[in-house]
Amino acid sequence: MAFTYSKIATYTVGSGGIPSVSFLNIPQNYTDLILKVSLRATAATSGGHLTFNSNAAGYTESVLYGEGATTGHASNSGSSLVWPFLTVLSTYTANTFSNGAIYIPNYTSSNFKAISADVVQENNATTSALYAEVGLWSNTSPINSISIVSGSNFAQHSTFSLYGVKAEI
Amino acid sequence: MGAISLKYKSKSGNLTAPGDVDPGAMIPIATASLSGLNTVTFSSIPQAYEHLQLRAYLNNAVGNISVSMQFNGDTGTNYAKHIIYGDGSAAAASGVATTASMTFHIYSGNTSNIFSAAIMDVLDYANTNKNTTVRGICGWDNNGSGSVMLGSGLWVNTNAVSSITFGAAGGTWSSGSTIALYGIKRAGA
Repeated sequence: MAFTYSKIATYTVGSGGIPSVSFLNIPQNYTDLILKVSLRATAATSGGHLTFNSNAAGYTESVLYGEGATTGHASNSGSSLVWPFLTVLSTYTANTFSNGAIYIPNYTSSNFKAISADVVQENNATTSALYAEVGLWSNTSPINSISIVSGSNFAQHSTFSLYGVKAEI
Repeated sequence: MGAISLKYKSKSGNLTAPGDVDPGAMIPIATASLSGLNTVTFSSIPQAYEHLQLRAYLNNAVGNISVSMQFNGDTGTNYAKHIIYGDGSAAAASGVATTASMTFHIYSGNTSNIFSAAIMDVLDYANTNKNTTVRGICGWDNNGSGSVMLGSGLWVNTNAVSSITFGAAGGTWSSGSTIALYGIKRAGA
């Protein structure tokens, strides 16, 4: 029996924080991946850099964002995806972490890899960011690893939870 | 750097990885049928999961109403909320701090058979090192008009979430309206 939604791995950041997290040797027997993240930075800078298979080329993305009363849309291309990992700044409300989900469909296919993500920051103030994002890795290789490098460090108690989704085929 | 090799399924410190046999990670906890109600509470929520997910399907008798959300019966001004939304012609965003509930604009018109749809994630709800942050994406289409929203809510309290109360602002939900609660297991659990 195939289970539609399966836990693969969870990583919790320990004392002192950590600059990066990698999921290696990702099983190739699911249809899609979902990565749920709850993140805080150790500095007053947000964000992280996402790469697949340790490959630093071929990434493009678009984001719809809101922050306070401001909305906007932006796009980017480069050596990583930079918007899926919105983190709560160290200057924001204590003990507060972001909430995000990154969806990676058909991660073993021989097509280019698309992602979608929605991630929110939170802060007990009128200003806090929300991102709805799509991204593309222009590479036909199956995804077997995911690396996330913090813009500063991921703070203690930040969590990364990876799940596999299996379609009925 | 934290590196998780899934090939060997080893455990080290707070790093966990799965076994081959997996009973499935998303478990239904409860479903509330909301016909005629303007508030509903999921109480005694099991604490064994890593995350919670709520899925709502709503219609109401009086037109557009939003949905408030509170944890553990806390009605104090211990919440913040932020949204970005669009209605087909414009986008806008707003944020409110130190308020009495999180509000998700799961607008649901009173047109028969037209329901809103919403999915809300409550991450690390039992982690007492964290305030609780909620993320929700929701909206409704009224056969050509409607709205869509990405929202967040913050409960400024590190207690584990043991109950969740939803309220309909100014109306009652119609027959067929439901909110379902799921638990999402932690890897290694």
